[in-house]
Amino acid sequence: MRSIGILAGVLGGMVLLSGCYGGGGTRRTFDGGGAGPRGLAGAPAVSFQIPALRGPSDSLAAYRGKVVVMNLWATWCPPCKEEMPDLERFYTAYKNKGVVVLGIDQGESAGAVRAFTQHYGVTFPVLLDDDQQYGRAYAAVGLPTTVIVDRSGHIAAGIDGLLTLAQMRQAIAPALAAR
Amino acid sequence: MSERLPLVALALAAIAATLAQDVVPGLDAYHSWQYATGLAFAALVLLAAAWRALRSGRSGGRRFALALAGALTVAIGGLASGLLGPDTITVRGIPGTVTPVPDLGVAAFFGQTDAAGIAAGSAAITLRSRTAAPVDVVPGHPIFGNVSVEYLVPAPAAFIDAHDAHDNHLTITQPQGSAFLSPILLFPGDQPIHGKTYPIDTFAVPAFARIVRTLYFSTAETKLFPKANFSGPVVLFSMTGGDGGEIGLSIAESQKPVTLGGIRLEATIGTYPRLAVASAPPLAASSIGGAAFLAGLGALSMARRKRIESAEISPTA
Repeated sequence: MRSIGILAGVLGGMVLLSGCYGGGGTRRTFDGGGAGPRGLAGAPAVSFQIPALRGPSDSLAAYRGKVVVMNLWATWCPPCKEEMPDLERFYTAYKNKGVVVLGIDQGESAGAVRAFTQHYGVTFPVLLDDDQQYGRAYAAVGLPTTVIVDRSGHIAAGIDGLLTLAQMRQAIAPALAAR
Repeated sequence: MSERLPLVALALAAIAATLAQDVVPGLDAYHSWQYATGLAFAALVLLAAAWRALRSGRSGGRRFALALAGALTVAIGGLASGLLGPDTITVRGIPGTVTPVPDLGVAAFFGQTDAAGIAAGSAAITLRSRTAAPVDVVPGHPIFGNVSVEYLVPAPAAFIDAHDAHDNHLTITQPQGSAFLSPILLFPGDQPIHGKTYPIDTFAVPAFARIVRTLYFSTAETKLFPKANFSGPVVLFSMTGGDGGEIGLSIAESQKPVTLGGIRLEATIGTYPRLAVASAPPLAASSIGGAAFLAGLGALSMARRKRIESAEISPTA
């Protein structure tokens, strides 16, 4: 009978604890995202097969084994326009050194993108991300957003905002140096 | 046997109240003092009855004690889960992104989706951890953990498509949201109208320097627009220009484009899941206790049947 008393005491204590529980305050909601592309370093780079400007379709995964400078941009974005000539210069300088620039337009028609790339003399591959899948997956908080993907398919760096040619060189140096 | 019936009924009630946490998870009631007191009372009565049955020294008493001890185990699991289990949390994630859920020690991968996926409400969430294989949580199929249950709660969502007058596709951004480059609205805000609140979200069409506030009205709420006779949920677009000046308002049904400020907007209205994590009775307590309860009652029933059979045989023997 003594053990019943002990167990009854334990149960009674648990009931008393319920008084401290504060009913009604037991729900929390929190939002994901918002960390921006910087928080992605080290994560595997996700890839989506989407339409390409030149050719039927393309994806980030197709460039596995190279260092990829993935640039998310749009034709209406002033810093993207400013960055584009440097991005093309960078591509020309590094395309034979195992580096590829992959431009991913966010949500625009092929016609608008083609006119834009012709105006800026863009020769690197450009993908048309109609549903903005890359923009969502890479947590872009603005445009342009640049993501450096290493040869193994992992994100080496995520950078928000415009890069100069010198900054692009600096950004890929660790991924290029890695074996 | 008749004196045992109220105890069996109480045991069943305690088991039902506990298993309700698995069947209808996430209710605030499970964390209330009333629920705790009810289960604690049931547990005490079951404990006393089991002790008495055990002390009776009869084999029937021992079987009944086993059944009551099983129910007691389940009830204590339910009590502990209600009192000490974690808060119910709801995680809102953007399609295609990863959100850590520290309460579970996992990362939640919110599945990519498109307009069709929003319309069908078919998106899933994958839970990944360093120590276990990935687990897909799909609509209508909760995942039972050791002391928690994970399930999807459908929430209003709309996939927005925008085109200019020349049918060029336009970028959608969400400058105020946590998903800058997402055309999927998840309506995290609340807009009070006449004492009621409605889900609201905002997106931009930067190529046209337009900001569009978007209110969601469920099918039942469309009665606010009696003349329109909508058959499903709708969204109300309120567009402003770059200078903040009002451009116009328009109500859109799912997949029926409207033109506002020179932009053709099409909303595919549906749902996108949120991940809910609620406390649940310990799986081991529920399964072992439930098995003991059934075994005890089964043994009692078999013994009773044997007694009846032998009683029927003995007069002719």
